[in-house]
Amino acid sequence: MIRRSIKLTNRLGLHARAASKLVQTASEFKAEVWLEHNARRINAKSIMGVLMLAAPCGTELSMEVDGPDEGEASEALVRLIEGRFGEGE
Amino acid sequence: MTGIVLVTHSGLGESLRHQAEVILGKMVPMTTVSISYGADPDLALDELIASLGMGQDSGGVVVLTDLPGATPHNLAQKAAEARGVPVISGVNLPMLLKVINHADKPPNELAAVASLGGHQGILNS
Repeated sequence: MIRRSIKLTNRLGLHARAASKLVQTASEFKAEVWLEHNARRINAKSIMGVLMLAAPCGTELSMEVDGPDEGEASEALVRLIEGRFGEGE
Repeated sequence: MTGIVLVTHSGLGESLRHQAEVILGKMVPMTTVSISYGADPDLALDELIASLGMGQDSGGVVVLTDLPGATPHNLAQKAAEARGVPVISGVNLPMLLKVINHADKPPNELAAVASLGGHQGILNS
């Protein structure tokens, strides 16, 4: 299992389109992916779950990835988040 | 895959579909049936029955309507009854996103997911 924290740096935070990209990326892997913010823990493969985090820019998310491809999954998600979901800012 | 049929008052279904597609970043296969205020109920019912028939050819279908008791819902209910198709009222964007993401589930299971998704999206914060 991989546990790490990661900061949202895109201006709009986990808004709808960003949440959708996160879910799509997480769903490419077999590993389970859980995100936690403000004592709310959600399945990162669920669009409603991710949206419910209501996480704005600057939020420190805790990410837990568990499964056979957890390394790749974790890297892909970090890449997506650090790359600001492909958004300019 | 279970087919999705949105039956709403004028334009609402198309608008919901458009927003879901923008959020998900992809085209989403679904049928939208818009019932205008001046529509002939018999013609609208025929259109609905045809829409459900198309969906039935694949893995079944679920119908989402906007307002229980209103004409789009009542007609959808009538059209769906004969085919045993589940009808879920009160469609909102959270419900639609959830249904799209779980469309691999069979119709009855997807109907339960739809209801859950719709409720999840209502917060009093």
